[in-house]
Amino acid sequence: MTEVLRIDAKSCTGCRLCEIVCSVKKTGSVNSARSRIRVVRLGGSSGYLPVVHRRDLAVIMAGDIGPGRATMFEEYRRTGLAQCDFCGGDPACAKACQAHALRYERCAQEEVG
Amino acid sequence: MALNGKLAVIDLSDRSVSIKEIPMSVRKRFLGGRGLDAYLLYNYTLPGSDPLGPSNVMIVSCGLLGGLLASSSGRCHIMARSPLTGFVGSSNIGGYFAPELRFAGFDHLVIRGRAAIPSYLWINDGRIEIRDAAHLWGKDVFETQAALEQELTDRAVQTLCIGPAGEKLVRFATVMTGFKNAAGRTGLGAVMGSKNLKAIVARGSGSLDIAHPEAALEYNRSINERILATKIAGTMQKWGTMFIYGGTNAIGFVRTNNFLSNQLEDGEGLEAENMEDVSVGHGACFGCQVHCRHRYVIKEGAYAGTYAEGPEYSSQGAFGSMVGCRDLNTVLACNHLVNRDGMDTLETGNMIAWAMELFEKGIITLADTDGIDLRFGNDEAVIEMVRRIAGRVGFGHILAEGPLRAAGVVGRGSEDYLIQIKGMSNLHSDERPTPALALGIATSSRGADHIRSRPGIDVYNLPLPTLERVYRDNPAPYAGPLVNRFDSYEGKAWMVLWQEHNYMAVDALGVCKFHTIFMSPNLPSFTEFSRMVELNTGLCLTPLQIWDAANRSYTLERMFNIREGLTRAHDMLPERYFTVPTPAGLPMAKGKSIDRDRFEGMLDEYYGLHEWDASGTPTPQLLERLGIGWEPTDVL
Ligand code: SF4
Ligand code: SF4
Repeated sequence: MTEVLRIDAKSCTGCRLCEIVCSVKKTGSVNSARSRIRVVRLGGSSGYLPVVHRRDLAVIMAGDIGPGRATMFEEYRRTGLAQCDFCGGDPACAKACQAHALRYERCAQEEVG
Repeated sequence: MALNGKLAVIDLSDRSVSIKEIPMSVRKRFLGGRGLDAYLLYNYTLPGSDPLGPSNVMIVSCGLLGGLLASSSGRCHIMARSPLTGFVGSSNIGGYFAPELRFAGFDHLVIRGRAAIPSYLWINDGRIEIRDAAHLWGKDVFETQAALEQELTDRAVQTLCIGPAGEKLVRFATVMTGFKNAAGRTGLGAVMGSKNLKAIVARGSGSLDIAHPEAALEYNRSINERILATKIAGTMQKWGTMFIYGGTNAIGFVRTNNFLSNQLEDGEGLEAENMEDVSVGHGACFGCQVHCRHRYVIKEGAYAGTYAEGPEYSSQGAFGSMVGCRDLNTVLACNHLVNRDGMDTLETGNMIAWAMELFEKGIITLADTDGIDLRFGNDEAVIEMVRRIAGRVGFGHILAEGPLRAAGVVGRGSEDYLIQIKGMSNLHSDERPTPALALGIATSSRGADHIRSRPGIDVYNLPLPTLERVYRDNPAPYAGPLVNRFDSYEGKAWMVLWQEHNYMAVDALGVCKFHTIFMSPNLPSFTEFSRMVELNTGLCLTPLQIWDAANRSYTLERMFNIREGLTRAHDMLPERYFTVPTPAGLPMAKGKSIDRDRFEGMLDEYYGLHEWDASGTPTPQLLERLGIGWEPTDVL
């Protein structure tokens, strides 16, 4: 078993409170760039996507500008799992999110892949 | 610290940019956002500046708590002399722009002059560039933002822009960000259009250092918990402001067919629950857990398949009850159109509703309306008129001028049918049964308005101890009466004044009115604001100092209006509020009109509580006490 952030992108309202609290907790300041979690606006009815891994974020941010990255989003939205242990088992982002878009929970290692 | 943001004065005529510090002494006196904007407007304009000329300024700002841990800190404020009213033009806008402006290093922008060619401002980490926007001119609000994201190859830029209505100087054009966030009232989009300014784009990577990070995180968490524990917040999370309509229409508080009724019969089709069929989720402004914004896809009609956001309670009135339409699809389509083209939903709906009453009364005919059948309840005609106003086509060109100018063109006694104060039309609320709310719309500094001073909780007839807790000595002393009947004239002047100060503080701090005492008595106000300011910024301001700052800024708005010709006669309700009783609703709302003498008495009391004289002019003693007797100055 392992701890994961389960991301339910459909419930995300794009408020970015998760970004704010993460960066304040880690750095004492509000700065999205220093937040481990980033919220990407997909546009229109696609809504928002909270993204935890920087590598994925870079791809998504770049990919979202042009066409051709739909699969990447879909994959992310489908699995909706991310591992981040910077908060030592008490993730600030999940605690702040009242829209239930982020939950911290245990799941099988295989599910994370 | 978080308060390092600068003031930038941008002259579009000579393309100069000067960047200034904002002294802490000024922040303490005016906070930020609307509070400091009022100071800048007073000081950066000359009396009588043409609202649509280069000498008008457009001020854009974030609040003192913008981008910080303050339950909702994304509100942006815009101010100018209004092309609609000639008085204070002022509007607040949600979304994410204000924090991004602050991350980019700026708290306030003063934009003056007029660009020789269509331009946009690119504000990026302390730098401000005036760039060519010829390729954006003519694009709608959504296209403009998408094009700028492409051009700047950054998905995270935040944009304020105008649509075609702003370019065409529709006098109630909006400034927009995102799909539905609008600086809606008083025509600020026309000011932007008159400056040839299509957009302002911000992107910043700066850090806002929190004075007491752990405590601020904890306090924000507890405030959010408290906000979400209120019934209002829970309801707003699901239905947005649209939930208000069901109750207000059932009672008879909803202006219908312009002003012919106060209740829309068979109006269930407009109720919030109908959003379930079209909703695809909710949206929120920066940091907000209330997420009151609907995100929807239109299912039927000419705009089927279109994604849009909103609508608010105001649009249920604008394109529903006021124009006698019962089809939510009309509201959804018109909401999309006004957002796309950048027009105020309320003013647009009011202009059409007014024209419809004139049409039904035979004061105007098909010859005036270019053949459009403007009978109440004609959904197609309403949608078409929205398009024509945005494009200034035919009769739409006249309506695009706003109430007083349009009535001037139409003549034939049509002015009597306007529901406007100081040249701005009212919400679709009917205040004849509620004297406190009537006083609020009459005295609001920007014209008929429900979010500048409305004691919304007055209509609940709350227990007296609750009113005492909210309005007595919180934090300013008050020894007068408090009465928990919404039909009373007693003690209401103080409620209006208290709310004025509260909303000014909210707008100056850059937080949201739905997070303060507006529709619930259990939400934060001065005490909590004081704590938020201290934990986030380190600035120690007592609740009373925040109250005083709000008073100072509100008084400056009044002074600005007086400088532009405001008199006591402008703080007056439309005549029909006094002469025509409400025809419908529950007994508490039916057969009501405002008693003229008692209204004048309330107005006297309100002026007295403000320390304004009988003509509504702030007394020299008040100006002295607030330290603004010496305005204007060029400190900034
Ligand atoms: S806090 Fe929750 S709802 Fe808000 S942006 Fe983050 S994941 Fe989305
Ligand atoms: S309550 Fe609504 S308007 Fe206010 S900050 Fe939240 S989402 Fe924005």
